[in-house]
Amino acid sequence: MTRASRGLVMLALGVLILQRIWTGTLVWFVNPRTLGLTWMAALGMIAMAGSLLDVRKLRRVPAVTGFHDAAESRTATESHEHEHGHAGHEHAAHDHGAAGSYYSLVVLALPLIMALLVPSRPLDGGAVANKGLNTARPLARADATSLKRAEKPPEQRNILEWVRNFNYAADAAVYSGETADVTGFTYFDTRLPAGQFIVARYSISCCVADAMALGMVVRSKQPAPAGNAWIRVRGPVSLAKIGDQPMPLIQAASVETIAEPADPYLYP
Amino acid sequence: MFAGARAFAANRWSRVTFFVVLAGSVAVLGRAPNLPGSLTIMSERLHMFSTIFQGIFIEAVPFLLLGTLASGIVEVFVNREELARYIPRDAVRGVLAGALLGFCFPVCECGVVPLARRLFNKGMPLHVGIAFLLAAPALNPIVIVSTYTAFGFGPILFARIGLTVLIAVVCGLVFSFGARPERVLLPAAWPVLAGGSGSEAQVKSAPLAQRVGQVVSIAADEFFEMGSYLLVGAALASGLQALVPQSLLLGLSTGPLVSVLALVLLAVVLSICSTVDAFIALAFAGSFTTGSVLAFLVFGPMVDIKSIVMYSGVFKKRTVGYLVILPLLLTILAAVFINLNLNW
Repeated sequence: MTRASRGLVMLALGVLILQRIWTGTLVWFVNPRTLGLTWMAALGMIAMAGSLLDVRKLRRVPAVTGFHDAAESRTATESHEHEHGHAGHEHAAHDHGAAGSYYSLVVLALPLIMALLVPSRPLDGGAVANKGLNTARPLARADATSLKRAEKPPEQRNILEWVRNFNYAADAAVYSGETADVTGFTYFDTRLPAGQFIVARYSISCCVADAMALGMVVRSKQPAPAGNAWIRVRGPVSLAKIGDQPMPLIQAASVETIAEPADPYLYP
Repeated sequence: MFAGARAFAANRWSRVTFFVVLAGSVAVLGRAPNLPGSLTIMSERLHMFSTIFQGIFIEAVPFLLLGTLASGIVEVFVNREELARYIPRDAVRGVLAGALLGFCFPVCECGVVPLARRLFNKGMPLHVGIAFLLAAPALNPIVIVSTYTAFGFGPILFARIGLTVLIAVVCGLVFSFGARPERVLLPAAWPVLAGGSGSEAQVKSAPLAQRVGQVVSIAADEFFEMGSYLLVGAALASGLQALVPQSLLLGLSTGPLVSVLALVLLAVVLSICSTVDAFIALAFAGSFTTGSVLAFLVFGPMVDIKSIVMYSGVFKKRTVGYLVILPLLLTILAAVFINLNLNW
């Protein structure tokens, strides 16, 4: 019983991850750099589930009560497994109700339950207030390659690259007058004067737990779009400040609302 | 930690009602289109929680799987005598070996706990295992490369390695003074008495296919057990991230002591994998004191919410307390010393 239900939960977890890879929603949760590992984990779990659900072995398990809860009697379980696979055992003296294994099953099923109950969506502007807009410098690895990569033509730089350039430049004023063309979501920072808002993106190193919001200040003559809307902003760049922190500012020539991009995050 | 849960589980109807009500309200909060003001914020927080929770799960599950497989392999293919032969006899060299063992097992904190528990089963001395547990997540090839990539060949890289070894060795030595496994470890991690089960000899002679089957079976057991600790930790970490504004902590970037406390707390709350924490630390390097960034890099891999919960599956409560407090004090001491005396 325990073995079969564990097998089913594992199978479902593996399938859930495969489904996320398939539908492209995996990037809502982790940096695609970890895709290889994630594939491995999904297939590994499915293979393990296959071995747990192996019909020949399942049939051999006698219907006795008190199947071992791994948490309670590990050594006993193992010595028993060494001796004869998963067949019946005689460690009935150990006190281990079904509760422990029941709870480990429920806990392991939590990602499935959350995925079913709460429609998945990427981290959005609603979380910036909690995550904090990161205005600290520098924002990514200091090696030469990533700096060189950041030396793209201004129109092709994303928000991460703009912020990084501003942070690494000896004098950020060299970027003044260049034209930015970036996409991000709107965020209204209370420290900014009226008529200004922030176009922001999350930068993800590994998974959304380490998400950091980065942004550029936008000054626009048009009325600002609603909070947490995806926009594309174009216009010349100059230098602004939030508190003491220098930040790039876009004097918006145009602000258009766009659909949420397939990959909402940026990766350092 | 399942004690309360077990009492709760005893009453079937309260259990069923609780889950149905919880699931119903979560589903409503997650889906309903036009909620009134305060509920919108709750719904936002719920989405944030759900996204971060699943993110940590997807990120950690390959490492958990690797750790449990390594544990299964150790159980089936390594016997006590072999292990004992490789471990130095005296305490100092023993803990040093334990601290450097991470180079052989490149696991982060999600993988190291099941592996360490298995090594305890196999009779690894307490002090060696504790040094391994504390050092391995930060002291392995993957983490060193990522730290090098982030900070280059400089004081942060060397100080991270040095401090991690130092703290792991000191904590290991503390446990080498007369601490007995039965008083420190939960029964599940007790060393199996030599000859107690008599099963190892049989396993050794079993055909390879059967032994691989055993590895998988042990790994599956361990996956569910350690996985439940990991996910409880992940749920706590994502709950904290969804409820506590980090901007409060990010404001405390100066001050030799306050900055260290802020980043140590952040490391605990974020519970990020040690393989990438260097890139996160880099974001603080410009504004925070050097000592505090180091504290983040040294303490984070040893102790965070997920690892505290996972430790509680191996050690008795009081030991878990020591394993949090000892590294914490040592990290703070070292970091504040660096802030006050060195100018990096």
